[in-house]
Amino acid sequence: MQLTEEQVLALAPDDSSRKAGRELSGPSKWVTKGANEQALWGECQGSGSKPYQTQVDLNGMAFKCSCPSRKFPCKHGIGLLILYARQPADFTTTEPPAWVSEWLGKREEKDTKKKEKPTNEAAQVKRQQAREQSVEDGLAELLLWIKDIVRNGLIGIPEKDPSFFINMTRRMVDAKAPGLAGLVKTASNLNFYREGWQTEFTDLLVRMYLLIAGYTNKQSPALLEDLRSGIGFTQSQDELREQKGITDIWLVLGKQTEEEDSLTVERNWLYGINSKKYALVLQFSAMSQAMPLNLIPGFFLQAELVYYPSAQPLRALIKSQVVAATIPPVSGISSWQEVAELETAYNSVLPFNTARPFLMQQVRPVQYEGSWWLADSSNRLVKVKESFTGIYRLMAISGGKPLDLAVLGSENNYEPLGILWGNQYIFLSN
Amino acid sequence: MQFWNHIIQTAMLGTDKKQIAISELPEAMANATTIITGNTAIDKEEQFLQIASLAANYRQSGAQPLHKEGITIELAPPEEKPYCSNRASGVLKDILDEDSNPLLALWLEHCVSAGQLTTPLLLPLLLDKATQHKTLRTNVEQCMGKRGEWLCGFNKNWQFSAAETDEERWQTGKPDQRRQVLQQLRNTNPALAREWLQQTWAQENANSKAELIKALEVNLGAEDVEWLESISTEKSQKVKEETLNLLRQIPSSTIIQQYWQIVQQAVTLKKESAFLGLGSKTALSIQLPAVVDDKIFKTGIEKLSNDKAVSDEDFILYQLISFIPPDFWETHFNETPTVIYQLFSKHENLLPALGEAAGRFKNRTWAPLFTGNTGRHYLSLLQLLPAKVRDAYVVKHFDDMQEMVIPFITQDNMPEWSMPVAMAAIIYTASEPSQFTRSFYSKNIHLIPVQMAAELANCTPADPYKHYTWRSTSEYLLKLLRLKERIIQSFS
Repeated sequence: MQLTEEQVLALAPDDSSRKAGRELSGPSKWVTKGANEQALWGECQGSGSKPYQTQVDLNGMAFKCSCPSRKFPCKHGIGLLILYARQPADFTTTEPPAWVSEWLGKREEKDTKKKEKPTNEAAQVKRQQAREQSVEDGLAELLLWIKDIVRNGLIGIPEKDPSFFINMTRRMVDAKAPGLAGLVKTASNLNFYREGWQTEFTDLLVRMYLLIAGYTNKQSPALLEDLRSGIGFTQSQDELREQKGITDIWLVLGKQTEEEDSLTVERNWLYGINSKKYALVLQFSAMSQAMPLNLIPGFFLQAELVYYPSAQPLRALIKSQVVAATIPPVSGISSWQEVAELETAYNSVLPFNTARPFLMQQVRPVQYEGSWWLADSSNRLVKVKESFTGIYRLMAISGGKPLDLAVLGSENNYEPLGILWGNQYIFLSN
Repeated sequence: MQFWNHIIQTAMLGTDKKQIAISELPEAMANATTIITGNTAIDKEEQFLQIASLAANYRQSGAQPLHKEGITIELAPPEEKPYCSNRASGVLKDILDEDSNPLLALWLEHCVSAGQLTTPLLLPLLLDKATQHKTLRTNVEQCMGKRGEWLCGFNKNWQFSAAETDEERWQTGKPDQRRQVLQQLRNTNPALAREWLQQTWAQENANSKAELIKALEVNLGAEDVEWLESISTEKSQKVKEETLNLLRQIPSSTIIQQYWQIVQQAVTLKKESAFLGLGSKTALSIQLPAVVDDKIFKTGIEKLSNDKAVSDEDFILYQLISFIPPDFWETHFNETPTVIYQLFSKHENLLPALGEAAGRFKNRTWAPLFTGNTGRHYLSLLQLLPAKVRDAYVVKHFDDMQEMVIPFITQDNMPEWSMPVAMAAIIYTASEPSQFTRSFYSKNIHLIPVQMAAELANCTPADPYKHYTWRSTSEYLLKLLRLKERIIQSFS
């Protein structure tokens, strides 16, 4: 398994876990340790008389430990995985002990149960109809609110009382349209002192309007799915899992984590090496619970991905995954002109301004008019997002020479995600 | 994107005040716009929203990369030295994560000695560290290679290496930097450093004079006397005191000569008859002259004793002897240091003054004479002793002099402790957990030999209440020692 220490450390929930994990990565800390294709386990001598039993399911990168820590993964899990990344030969390949096989067995059982869960279809249809009615009512109210803004002009928006936005956000939540509630909230959180807020605000109004108008006018089925998803309807993951997905070796290009109230949203950007498709795997966790999957930037996964229905599929779920045994050569896009054409094609069928990832070949960082840009071999330039803080890491590795770079963005404004450096992927986390 | 500006202008003013005109939009949008504005089923607000949606999509779809020829940056020159190993690079990353500057300094020293460079990936972190901690800069500059020099050109915060000469720093730097430059120059060219200070002396204010003159303490010598004496009448009391302090460290200064005039009259050799009148022996005759030049009391010599058991005369003499270079006695009596020491040892109250003088004038010949069991320890003499003698002395008397030893063995430029010193120091510091916390070990990890990792269990304090704290501290210390061990191994 290709696993670097840096990738393991990226899994730690905070700095102190990272440090503590590193301290536990010495072989002397582990009374026993073992591994097979599916899992990794070890017993770590802690302060108690009995050693802590730590285990990692490598296929889902799931952790379990008998220590009392509430952190996830705990320092023992991180320590064990670092030790494995450093010295895999130290782990004897044996049959897992009972406490490991029991846990693995339970995980499998849980997965099967999930699939077999019975559903009451009639009740579900009724609930669905009630929700759609509620959403339609909410959309009508939101449209009036937007029109009111358009009539009076954006000029007075920065001075609006916070309740102007809060009330509409709550209304959208009540109307069971959380997607739209999120857009209203984003509009209220814009920095009205920053130049260009007017365009950002107008873009948000346009997006809300397109969702309302598109949904009301019942667009084509594929686009309707995008609209429903934008409004906040959820898609049954079980149904998606029934479908056949795309099996490929997927490189995890980057991970972005955001806190939204008490919810942690994790965006993972993937690239299919053979299919040359990009995917966004979203994960959510409430109250700092563990994410279902630990996706590490730079990991190559042999996985089957099922895309959510869309006019331009991007969001996907991982149906099954194992760490790839071999890594084929990776190739990407060689010109910004090609990226512009791809973006135009996306926008022509899905008119929402969405940041998309691209794996670029041989682009070099340059400075122009006091800003950083990325130039391709035909001297086409796109701007590096001003919020990107890893520019000097990028420069240090590049030395001014072109390199293969994963980026995320739209409209000639891109944030570098990571560098493909030989057979190594360097994640440029912000 | 003029058309988008029109959209924004309309949105800002509101449709009540302004409508978007077809002429303000690109030709490609004309037909669609006509259809939208012709739709009477929707109001003007919705018409605007539809036009804005169309324009936004037109803007997004038409985004083209900027085409500019000749926008380039100079390539980083090829390296002349090899990169350090992956193993060394891994240790460096762990040290940066641990935020341990002493270990970082140690890593850099090893990298410089090995003639190697840090890998490019860690350069930004290393340069940030060097920006915050000036002491790391020289070694960072040596380890960053051509890539580092090139990278510094893009970040003005990292341009500390950009050829700001010592002279420029002296002339335009902050007070702290100026004193540092002067001190460094005193190490390599004391005369030039004095010359620089002389040149700006008239323009300095009293505070900066008092601060800058302290730098002359490095390599202080007879050549400095003339100028120092010329400024000893400065108005500022602070400057006067600092100048006096320096002059009292130079044997050829007038002030020391003045003291010596008095002391050599006061301390003379006399012959005494030995036991039962068989032969004679030499002894010291000590008597302060009846009249003492009053000038000395204006140079910091106190007139009155603050101890009832010590007479005013003895007290004055004690102070004066402590400012007499010990080799003056050798010439004066034409005797060896050992003989002179023995003569003074008959006068227990004055002997410590001789010890202080040996420390003040950094006399390495005299220093070992004071390592006997006198019950008195001289911190200033410790650094004059040969390493082995010093370590044996420190270990032997550790319990008596704990409080003065720790500041001594942790001072700047101390070499790594020998194992016996390290054992004694760790046993003591472990027994005082509230005084010697993790930060003490972190700050001094470069001094603690890696072999101590195997001995930490033997340093557990006797007091059971201190066991818990020591366990946690020793785990931390062990982690630092392991990192230190990895540094040594990765460059060996």
